Amino acid sequence: MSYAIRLIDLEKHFHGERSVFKAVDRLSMDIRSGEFVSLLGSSGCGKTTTLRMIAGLEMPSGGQILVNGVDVTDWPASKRDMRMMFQDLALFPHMTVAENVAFGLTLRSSKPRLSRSEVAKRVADYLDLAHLGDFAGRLPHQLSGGQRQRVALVRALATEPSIVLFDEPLGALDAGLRRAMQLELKRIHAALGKTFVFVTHDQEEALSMSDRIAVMHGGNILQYDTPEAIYDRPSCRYVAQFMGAANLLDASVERLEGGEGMLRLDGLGTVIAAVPAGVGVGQKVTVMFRADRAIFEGESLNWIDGEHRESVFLGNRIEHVVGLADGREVTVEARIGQPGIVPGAALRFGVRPADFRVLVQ
Amino acid sequence: MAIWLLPPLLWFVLFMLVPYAITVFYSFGRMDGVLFAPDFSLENYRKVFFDAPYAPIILRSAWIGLLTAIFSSLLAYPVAMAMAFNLPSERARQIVYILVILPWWASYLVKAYAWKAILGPSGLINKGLMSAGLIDEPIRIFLYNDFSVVLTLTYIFTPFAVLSIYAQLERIPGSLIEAARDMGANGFEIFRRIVLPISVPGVLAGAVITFSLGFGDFLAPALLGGSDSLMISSVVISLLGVANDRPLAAAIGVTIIVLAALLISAVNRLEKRTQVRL
Amino acid sequence: MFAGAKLGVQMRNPVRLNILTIALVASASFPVAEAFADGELNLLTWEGYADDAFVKPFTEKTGCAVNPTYVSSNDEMVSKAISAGSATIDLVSPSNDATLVLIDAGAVEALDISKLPHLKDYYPAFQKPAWLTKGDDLYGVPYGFGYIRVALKEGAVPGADSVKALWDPALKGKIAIWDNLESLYLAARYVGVKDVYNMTDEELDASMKALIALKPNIVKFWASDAEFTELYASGGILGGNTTELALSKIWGEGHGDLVDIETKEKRGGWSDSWMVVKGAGENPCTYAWLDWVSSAESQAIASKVTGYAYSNAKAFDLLDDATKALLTKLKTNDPKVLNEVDWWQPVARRSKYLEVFNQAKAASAP
Repeated sequence: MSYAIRLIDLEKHFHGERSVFKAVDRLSMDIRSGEFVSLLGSSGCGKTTTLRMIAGLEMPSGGQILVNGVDVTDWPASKRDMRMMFQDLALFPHMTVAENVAFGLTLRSSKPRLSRSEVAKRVADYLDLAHLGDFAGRLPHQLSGGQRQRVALVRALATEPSIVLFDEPLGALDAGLRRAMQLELKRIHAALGKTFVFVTHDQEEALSMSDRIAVMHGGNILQYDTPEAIYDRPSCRYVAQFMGAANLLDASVERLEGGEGMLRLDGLGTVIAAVPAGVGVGQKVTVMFRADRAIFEGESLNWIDGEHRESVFLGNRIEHVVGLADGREVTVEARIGQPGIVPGAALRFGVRPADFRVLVQ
Repeated sequence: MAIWLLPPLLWFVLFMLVPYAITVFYSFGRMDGVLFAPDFSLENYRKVFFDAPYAPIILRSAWIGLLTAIFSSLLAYPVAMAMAFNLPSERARQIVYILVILPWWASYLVKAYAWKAILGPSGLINKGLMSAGLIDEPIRIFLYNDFSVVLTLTYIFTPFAVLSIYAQLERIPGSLIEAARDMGANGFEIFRRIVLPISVPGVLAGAVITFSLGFGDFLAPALLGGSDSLMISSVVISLLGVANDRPLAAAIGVTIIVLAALLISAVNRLEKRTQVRL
Repeated sequence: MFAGAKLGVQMRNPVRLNILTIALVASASFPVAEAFADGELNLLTWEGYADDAFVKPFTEKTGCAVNPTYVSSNDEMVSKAISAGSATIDLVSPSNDATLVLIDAGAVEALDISKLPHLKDYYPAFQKPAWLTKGDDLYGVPYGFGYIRVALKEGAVPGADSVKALWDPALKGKIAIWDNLESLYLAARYVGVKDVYNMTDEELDASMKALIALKPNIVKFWASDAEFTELYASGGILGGNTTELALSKIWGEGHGDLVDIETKEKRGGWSDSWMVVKGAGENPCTYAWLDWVSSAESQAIASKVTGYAYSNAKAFDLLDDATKALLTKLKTNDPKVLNEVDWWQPVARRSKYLEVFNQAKAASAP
């Protein structure tokens, strides 16, 4: 397996007046060639700083960056075989679309050195690829938001780097356009086979596009795995919460038997759930289940009683908020017309032992 | 009409329109002894354009103004660049900003006299050169010529150019520079292909200000000028103070106002053409 | 302080030495005479010509309150005297290049010499000067005066006895010239023009060429006495044309080597006079003022205030020894020298003169 990017104990410290802020704290990760990896996290988690260090726009305080096996930690941005698509797109406002795309091809450092006609041809080809051929002579401010996004993308791709970095470039788009651009990016990634590193705070965006997602928090990676694994098997309470729609209940382990254990939910009786290795009797844990895993009929060892509070119609299904005996609320999903759910009345739902995730704090 | 428009309107009428009208009125008149006589004559304008020495002195003043604008811009640009891009913190930027405008707190005269002292035969430069053993006698080429005039004007008016260029450079998002760097551009390419073209309107605005201030100046030539450093403002002053020739002074004033208006509108057009939407 | 702000007297740098002491002495030594209750006097004059040092004793003695309005040019004085009249102005003090304009315009009245006993103590040059006389009438009381010097460092041009010394190639880049029409008169005298105040086009042209020919020597057109003083004291120049105030300042600073050259050519001179705006003679305060300012006593005080020489010859006797020595060295108390001064006159073609002067200034040195 060849790695496009390897980060080893990467650190970035920002020095304030009295304190040192560790934006990135001994972070290590590998990104395979041709992989689409997302760095996901809320603002301040260090994802953008990490990306900028990869790009060479920020110098690390410690650690190493290897690109295609070569240590590029001290290399300037211009020498690295990668291009970045910026959050604000950073289109050159005084240049036409074609001039923007040609910029990276007409520098002293451009390799290979192209003749004028070669540059013109390359620019035209890439503009056609993004259906921008008719806009070559326009200035950025004369384009729509989506067109500007495509120009920025084409500009990054036109120099044909092996790695493309994305710093939340879709943030400014409305939902529909955003969805279209996500698909477009995924299509281009599949077609070009380049390594994409994509920074976002939107978990749906990360889930829908990435081969792997690194969930970041406090300058480090909490979990680095496929979208399915991260969604289904979050490694900790923070990841579970961040990936959304998770019901989290505090519990303590009462009994262990094989891979399963009896857990006492605070104030709600006991449930049976699969327990990961290393968890002992008496230990405080968090029990998680997703709203779509709730059942309302059939066999289950684990029934939880509550009271229906309100319903949210989601088209093909309905989300119900259930008040539990200890006053907390959980969310469960049900198909439309599910018997046994009466607004304002008592409501009982079950979760199969395999659908519980036991998270160690 | 909104009531708050009244004070600016009054100001405009009282301090702009009325004085201009009076100046134009005077420029068509003539002097009858010591008293002004209204008339409708183009004689004063004929003098401005065709009699020595007025037109050549206007050109000469424009030349001094142009040199002031060029040197101010050249000097101001790196300062504005450093303020916009190179200073590590907002605090450092503020300190440099204050240092740039600090000389404005001192009076023009003090600054002009300071240069007189620096450039003079017993001034800083000559003393330095003499103590370094490079010369035995004070050199007199520094003071009382166009060099000292342009130097002083440049020194005094450069802050205008700095702020004007900085205001434009400051608008350039850092990501543009980073994007260029990311794509492999070196420092010179970033400057020539990104920063410089975008900064043109700021440079033009600063140049118009420094040109105008240099063009209309009379203190620097009076204090530091040589035997031929005569500028048009000094001529106007002498026309009023010595010859009491108000009509001719007014005609020169109107001519300069018209020239300035033409210049400013031309530069405005150029600024609009070169201004980018960031 | 700029090019010819005022034609008559360029720059007034009041030298205030012991003004207070003198004022006290002066006020004590004059007996209180007949007072004009509630009298009022409006003066249009130069700064320094209505100084408290001699106005206060006057007011105490006569009861006349003095309201001075200061102006910066003869033109201002002339146009206001003509247009305003005695309702607002009683007395003006123009210099000799403007007095005839006022007389010819009928804006001022002839004086009653019998009411001016001090005039007999005046230097002959100021007893009945041409610039104050029309027919047999006298129209003004001369006051402060001065004449323009050509001064050079000792030995800079050996044996210099003419304005021609300024054109000496040895002075290349070493002289400063007054930024004033007087410097055009200087060039005119250099080329031998007789009546420098009424030059023909040819004479003006020749004067301009002479001034341009002088330019290689001119390092600076000076605008104030202080500037000329600074230029000489710093070694920047070896001389030029200058005023008594600058000379005395330079000498006072220990540069005794600046020599006031007695030129064969005449030298231009300014003389201010108090003139009565038509109708103002009826104001009893007017003649009281003329009597006071023409007295040796008041002029001695004024001399200390402004540093100028004054027209009453007896004022000299009241000065302290140091001032006497200075004025003697400056020859402002020598009646013979004063008779030789080419006193300024109104220049009919002032605009043309200025145009020629500016043309010379704008020209580059040959």
